[in-house]
Parts: sequence; structure tokens; C-alpha cells
Amino acid sequence: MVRRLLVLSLGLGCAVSVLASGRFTPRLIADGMVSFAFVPLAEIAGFAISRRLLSRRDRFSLDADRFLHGDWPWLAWILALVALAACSPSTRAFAVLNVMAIGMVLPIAASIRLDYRLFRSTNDRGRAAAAVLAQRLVAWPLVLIYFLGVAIPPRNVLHLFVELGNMMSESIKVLLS
Amino acid sequence: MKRIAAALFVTGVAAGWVGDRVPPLDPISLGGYLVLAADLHLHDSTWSDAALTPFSLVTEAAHQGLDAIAITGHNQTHDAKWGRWFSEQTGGPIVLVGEEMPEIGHHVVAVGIDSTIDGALPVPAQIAEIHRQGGIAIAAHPVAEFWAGFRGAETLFDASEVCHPLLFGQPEAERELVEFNRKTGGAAIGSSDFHGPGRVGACRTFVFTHDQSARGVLDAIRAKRTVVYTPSGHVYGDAALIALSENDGRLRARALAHESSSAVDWVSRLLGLTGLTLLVWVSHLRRPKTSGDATAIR
Repeated sequence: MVRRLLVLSLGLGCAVSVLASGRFTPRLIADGMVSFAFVPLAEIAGFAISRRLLSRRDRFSLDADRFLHGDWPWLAWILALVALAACSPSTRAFAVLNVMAIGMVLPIAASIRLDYRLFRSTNDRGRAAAAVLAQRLVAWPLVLIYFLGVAIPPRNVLHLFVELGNMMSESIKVLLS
Repeated sequence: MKRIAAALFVTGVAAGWVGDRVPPLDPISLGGYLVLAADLHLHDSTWSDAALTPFSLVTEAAHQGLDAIAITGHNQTHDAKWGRWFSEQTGGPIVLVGEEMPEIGHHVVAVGIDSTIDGALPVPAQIAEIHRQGGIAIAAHPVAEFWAGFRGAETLFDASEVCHPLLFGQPEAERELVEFNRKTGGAAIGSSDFHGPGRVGACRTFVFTHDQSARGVLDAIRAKRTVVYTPSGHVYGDAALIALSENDGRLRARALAHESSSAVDWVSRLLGLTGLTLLVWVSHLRRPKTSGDATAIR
């Protein structure tokens, strides 16, 4: 379990380092791991709560290890982001990130499918679906509240989605230009 | 496989470490002023939707050849104070405490303040509070879509951004930023609005100061003693200082230096990425442990 969490954290640290400097530097990898430590923490917190919905359980560390195996679509997405950032000039780094953000639908869908299959293997459909939903309902808001909670006041949340849409369409134009 | 992955990754990181050096830049004096390279719009990862901690932001600024930075967290100033403390302990660049108040229709950057300012205030009230705290007010990336939000407050600003990374993708926006700067009558500012992707100092302001201090930077901006180069090669700011800078040539060279990747950088990217890919393969695509326990969820 710890090894899988560390690899996810390492992937996030490497993405930060390459996007911010174009290199794999120890100081930026370590800093990126610290900055984005909330991601694996929120993920495991969500799992700890959703696991309570499952009728059959093993030791927490074993269950968590199996659950974290389902992170591989996200790690593949991170590797693609690092590869694209490593090959692009720094002036296009933001555009690279925005375009990759559109591609997030793939790991989102794939990880939901993997988690559902994992939970479904020993539980009925209803429980498996509820556990997948509960994990997302805990982990995703935790991530968003930590990352954007102070930066985006509640009164401006809806406008955020409009701005994100504009940024992504501009980024596609930049990368295609 | 695990050992090969680790060896490749460590070699890639070692190559990155070799190429990661603070550039040896001589200080520049022009016209009796000390010229400081400043980036006055940086975000960090502590509740400001960015990627680096305030400590790393300070270190990265030094690596990008900056003499002064403002850490401008969204709606808070705590992290800027941590960054200032860290820089004082480590002999890093001057760190000014700042805040960005991002509201629908207008983003205002405060630099040189001490306590958080409420972003819900109208723009003139935000600027009045910034001035009351001894800071300067900068209109952030004021492209045309923000002009309505700033209407009536243009001349209250001390400065506005004429160079911002958005120009890398939308060079035509330079005209709008410059037009707004003329409306304010304030100093020209170049800032990276760094969140993680890109480079700290990608857009920078050359500030002509009497001394290397936070107060010196603020006073120089109030007096409009700044020069900014945009990616298109145009230069904005005080006319006399622009003439000095253009005759000298060093500021233009530093501002518009094209990022070049050395062989060591490519080794870092290639080996680091290959090693990371193999590490992911080994750790996540290997079959998960199974348990003999019949209650296992798989």
C-alpha cells in the first residue's frame, strides 16, 4: 500500500518538476511530492470510508493495496503529461496542462470501472456502486476544497467552470498553432 | 526490472541535479540605479492552486536569476510571509508579501501589504486598502474582457501588467495590455503569474532602485522606474530608462534569452521518464497481492 502511494506521489512530484523546470530535479520532485501529498491522502481517506459499505473485507492494508492498483490509469495520464511537457517549450507548458486536463476523462472513466470491478468481485452490484460513489464523494471534494477552497470564494465557483472552458479552448488553439 | 527502473530514474534525477544551477549573473547598474529583476505575481501550493511550496518558490526564483519576488496568494498572505522568512534565513531574493484578489471581471494584485484584503470589496476600496497598508496596486493581466471591471478605477492603480505568459499563446493581447497601461498612467509590469507550468520569471520587471530592499522596489514602482520586455521584443516603461537599457543591451538579453536545453537536460528527461515509466510498470501493473482469506474483497 505504502509503495503504491509513494509511486503515485513520485509521479506527481516528477510532473511538477518537469512542468516547472524541464528537468527531473531532486528539489522540485521533493517539493512537488509535498505540495500534492493531499491527493494520495484524500484518495486513501475516501477509500477508508467507502470500504465500510463493503460486506466482505480483508486487512485494511491489503484491501487498500488492491484498491490503489486501480490508480494505474492516473499514472499513465501523469506519464503522458510528463512526456508531453518534456518535449514542449516552457512557453507552452500551461497549454500542455490544459489540453491534458481534457484527457482526464479517460483515467476518470477507467479508474471508476476498475474500482467497480474490484468491489463487485465480492459484493452485490448495489454495494459495489455505492462504494465507488462514496469514495469519489469523499476524495474529490477533499482535493478540490484543499486546492481551490481559499483561492476561489464560493460566490465565484460557477464562474470558474466558464473560465476553465475558455482556458482549454485557448490552449487547444495554442498547441495546434 | 525493479533495479533497472530505479537505476535509470536515479541517473535521470542526478543529471537534472547537475543541470540545476543558480546562474552566475553580475549585478547591473544603469544611470545611477541598481537594476533588479523582479517577478511580482507568483502563486504557491499552500491554498493558492499552484504547484510549489513558498520555500521552493524562493529557491526557484534564485535559479531563474530573479532579485525580487512577490508571493501573491489568492485571498491570503500567510504563505508569502513564510516565503519571506525562508528567504531571509537562506539569503535568497527579496520577498514582498502580496495577495491576488481574483474576482469575476477583475483581478487585482497587491504587493507590499501586511494583512489579507477582502476580495469582495469594490476595486477602488481594494486599492485604498492596499495603499493604507503601504503597498502598491497592480492590475493583473488586464486584457479587454477585464476593462469593464476596472472602469472608473484605472487611474488609481500604481501599475499594470504589460507582459504576462498569456502573450506566449495570444500575442495579439499585448496591444490590450499596453492600452490599459496607458489608461492607468502607472508603471509597466511584467509578471509570470506562475502556478506551476512554465517558468518563474518568464515575464519579469526590471526595477530601477536606489537600494536592494523591499522598500526600494516599492518606491521605484511608485515612481514608475521600470522597464519590461515582452516576448515580441517590444519594450515598455520609463522612456529615459528604456533608452539607457537599449544602449546597454544586457536587460534585453536577459529578458529575451531563449531557453536552451543542454545535453544534460535531455539525458535527465529521457532517463527520468524511462525510469519513472518502468517504476510505474513494476509497482502498479504487477498483479496485486492475493490473500488466502475468504473474506478478501477480491
